[in-house]
Amino acid sequence: MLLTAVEGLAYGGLYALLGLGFFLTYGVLRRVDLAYGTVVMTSVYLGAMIAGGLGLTWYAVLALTLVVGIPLSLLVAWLAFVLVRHDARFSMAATLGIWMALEELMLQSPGRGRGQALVNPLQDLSWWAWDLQIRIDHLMILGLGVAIAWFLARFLTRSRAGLAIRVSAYDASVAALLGISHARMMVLATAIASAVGCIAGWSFATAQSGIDLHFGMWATVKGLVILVLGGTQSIALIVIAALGLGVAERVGSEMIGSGYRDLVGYSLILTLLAAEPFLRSNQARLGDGR
Amino acid sequence: MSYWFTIAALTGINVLLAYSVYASFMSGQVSIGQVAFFGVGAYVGASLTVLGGFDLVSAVVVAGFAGAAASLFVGVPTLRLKGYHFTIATVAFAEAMRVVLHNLKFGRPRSSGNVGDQWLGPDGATGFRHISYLNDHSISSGEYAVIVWLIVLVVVVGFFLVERSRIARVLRTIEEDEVVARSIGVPVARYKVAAFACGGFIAGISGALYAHLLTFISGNDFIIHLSTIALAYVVIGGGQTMWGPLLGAVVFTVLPETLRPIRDFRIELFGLLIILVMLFRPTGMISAAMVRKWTVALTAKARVKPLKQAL
Repeated sequence: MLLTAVEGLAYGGLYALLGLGFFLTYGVLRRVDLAYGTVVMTSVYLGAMIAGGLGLTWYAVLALTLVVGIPLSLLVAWLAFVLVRHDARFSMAATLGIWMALEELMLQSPGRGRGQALVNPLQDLSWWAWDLQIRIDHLMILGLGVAIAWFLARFLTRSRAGLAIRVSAYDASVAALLGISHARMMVLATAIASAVGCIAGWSFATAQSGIDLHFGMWATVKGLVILVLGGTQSIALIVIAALGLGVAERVGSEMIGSGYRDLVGYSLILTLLAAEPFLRSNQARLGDGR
Repeated sequence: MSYWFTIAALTGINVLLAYSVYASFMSGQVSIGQVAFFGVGAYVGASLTVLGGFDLVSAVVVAGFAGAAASLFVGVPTLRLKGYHFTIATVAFAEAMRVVLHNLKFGRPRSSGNVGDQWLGPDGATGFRHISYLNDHSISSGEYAVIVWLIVLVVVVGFFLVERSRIARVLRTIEEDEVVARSIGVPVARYKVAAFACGGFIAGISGALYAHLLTFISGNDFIIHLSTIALAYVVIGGGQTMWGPLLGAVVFTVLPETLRPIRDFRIELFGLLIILVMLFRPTGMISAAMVRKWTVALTAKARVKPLKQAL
């Protein structure tokens, strides 16, 4: 059971990375972007495909993923949140359209339904502690998640750019009065959110030695679960929620069977959402679609 | 010909699924969980005819109630949520239900059948096979298409009457501004839950019809994509009027079948159209203003005719 919990912590690190990307998109930018996971999947998939075709080494996949992912995220944001801006529901529907089109395009790509293989150089490396076998790659994902969370928290609360992003997302008019370029801040925040998502996707794909085309939907749903569990107020809560979800899912699957593993997270999200109006009646945690 | 009857039945089922989304869309709630109620309806309806010996109509009606019950289970606690929490809750419920349906196993052994195919009823990841009610009762694909479209007609007439009633005005007020609706004494939560349950009922019916048409279902048939396509029918067709879901579902089920080169790119086309509609025509293909204009024109024509005859 302890080993399962430790494995869960490693998954929690990955969930934390996904959750951070969602935190930036939903919590800071106040955007309901349903295409987020699919954009991440597409970027990792294309990155792996290009690297495989050119015979590049494993870490080149990350660079290629970022090169594909950041411009793609900016394009999605421009289409769904700049061109379509009269109603938040319409923007959400536009991201839904992008999600559908992009995922299906990938399904019909030359790879056609096949996953892309990735080399995991740390696959066979493990570390033993108190009779527990801990995979080094899992440990690195956990460390990466915590490090990026710390960096983002510092960036958003201590740096001028981070504060400017928050002001701009809160009220574009106030930002303009302060001499902050709203458009530039939104581009910066979108690029950071995309980069975090790309790192999450790449880490997951490397740890699993490949990426599946259904990763996009999985990432979106998991990201939403973490966001609801952790809320949109604190990065620390996102990390705690992600680690908790990772452990709960692993331990839960050990107890009720692996077929029902995902049910743990979904039951948690439903229970929390059902209880939320009673717990926080006056607090709109997802920006009320603004 | 049988192929086109099957397409006609599938179109009717898609129209029903679109109306199930539209029911809660009228009150401003965007649900991506309709596929869960659709799945519940499919499993309940098929179980009743295959294992319970029910006739098709009774099974479809019970499946509708099962869909409504599932929608109440998720709707009652979550429809109070603000912003997009409700949409997220429906996503979670749809995925949870997929996991449950994917692992569901009950029924009895079959007396005949090949090795590995000797189970009657849902068989976990293998799925639910031998839903052979139509075959067993010699119902042709043409007759089944007629049955499906008769149900569609009932639902369309129901929505036609609702749109001309106080209920629709109340739902639209809730969609526009919940605070205003509450301030004029509208029990907002009750209306939202009722609309959502209606959607669940229609989704349950369409799920049962779908299971009998396909004769085989599995948990993985009921993924969120089906909900997003149903939502696309409403968004592209037009969410302001009851004619929008009908038009969206009919056009986007029949069009890929008639234009074979685009059939493989159906989903990409949907996605692209959603983006284009949101960019250039957020009200969808048919807007409420268009319907009002046509109604006025038709009423005027109808008034002028008897006048001309009298002269």
